[in-house]
Amino acid sequence: MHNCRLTKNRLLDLLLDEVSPTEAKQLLEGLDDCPACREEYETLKNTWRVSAHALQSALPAEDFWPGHHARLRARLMNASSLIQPVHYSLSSRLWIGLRKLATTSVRVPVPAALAMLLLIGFSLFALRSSGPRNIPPSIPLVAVETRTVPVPVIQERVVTRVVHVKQRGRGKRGAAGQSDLSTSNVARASLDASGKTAMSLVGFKPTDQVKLTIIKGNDPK
Amino acid sequence: MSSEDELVGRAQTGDTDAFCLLAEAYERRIYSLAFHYCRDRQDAEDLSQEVWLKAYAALATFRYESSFYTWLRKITINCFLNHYRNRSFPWSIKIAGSASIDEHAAENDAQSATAGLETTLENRMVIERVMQALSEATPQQRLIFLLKHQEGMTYEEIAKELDCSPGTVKKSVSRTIAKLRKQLGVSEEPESYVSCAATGIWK
Repeated sequence: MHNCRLTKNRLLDLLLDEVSPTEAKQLLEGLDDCPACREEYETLKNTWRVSAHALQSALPAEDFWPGHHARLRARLMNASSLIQPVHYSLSSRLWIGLRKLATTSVRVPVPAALAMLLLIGFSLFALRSSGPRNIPPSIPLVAVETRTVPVPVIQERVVTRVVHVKQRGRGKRGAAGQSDLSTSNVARASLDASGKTAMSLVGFKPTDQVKLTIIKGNDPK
Repeated sequence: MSSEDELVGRAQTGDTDAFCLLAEAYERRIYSLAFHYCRDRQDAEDLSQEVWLKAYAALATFRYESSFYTWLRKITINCFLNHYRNRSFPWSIKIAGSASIDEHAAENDAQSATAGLETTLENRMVIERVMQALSEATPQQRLIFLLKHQEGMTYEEIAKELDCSPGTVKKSVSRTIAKLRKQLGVSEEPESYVSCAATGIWK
């Protein structure tokens, strides 16, 4: 369906080759159906053409160019003594040449290219099929080396801990406290010659409940 | 290796004659762009020479990744934009049909001895109108129009060179064409084109 507004928006693109060939074909077909759009397109085309003609006509005549070139040449010759373009070293030039060679494309006709591809393909296939079929599995050439490596061995250590067990009476505060005091007095009094405390059960009064407290650590002596 | 690449290679080694041969091949295109861009004979000469001097100084940066002219055009565009930014040319006082354009047109007219007087006058009138339309465009619009019209670059290519979007390029070309149509007396109405054609402008 032809839409004049949409078509007019695309006419400049059509004139300046900014549309795809498919769209260009559609637009040109649309112009055949709409005289107004066709006229608008022709006007644009003529404006473009007249501009080109005018711009070309405004340019200097032929006799201008030799003088222009002479002036430019003189300016370049003068400038060449001041401006020294960077000279490439041999390696840089070689590198540029190689890069150019690598990126250069060569035009080859499609039939010739296809023929070459087929030829290469057949050659590869023939080489593979004519080659030895039962190839023994290759023996891996791995040299085995024996070494004695010292490995640290974890040694066990026996740790001895002395556990002191203190028995404390838990009777009534008055009597029990007194008995404790008397006990400690007795104990303090009964130090033997070696300095060791002699345990004595004099004044010890057993109670109903006994609480054992285990103190871990070194001997306080 | 093409002869042009060979010349570039020689110029890169400091052969100024080789560079002058390269300049000879493209000096008209560069001068034309410069002339239509700044619309003055002397300014165009200075600007185009500046382009060539810059190209000569920067020749070592040419890596054969594009054609020599594509590389040169990049320098040209940068040169034009720098001149516009630096305001080294009095853009505002240049008017279409100025002495420079008249000089070139007169030279051309003198050469076309076979052309009739009427045709010559018509041509002069059309040239003046086109130049007037271009003078009404901004320097950037003018540059975009010239790159599209003279160089045949795509919207994408121009946008890439000028660091803007293709939409901006399209809009710019469209505006310049609208100015051209206005100057040439072609309004939006198709009927007016017919009357214009009758005057012989569209020959």
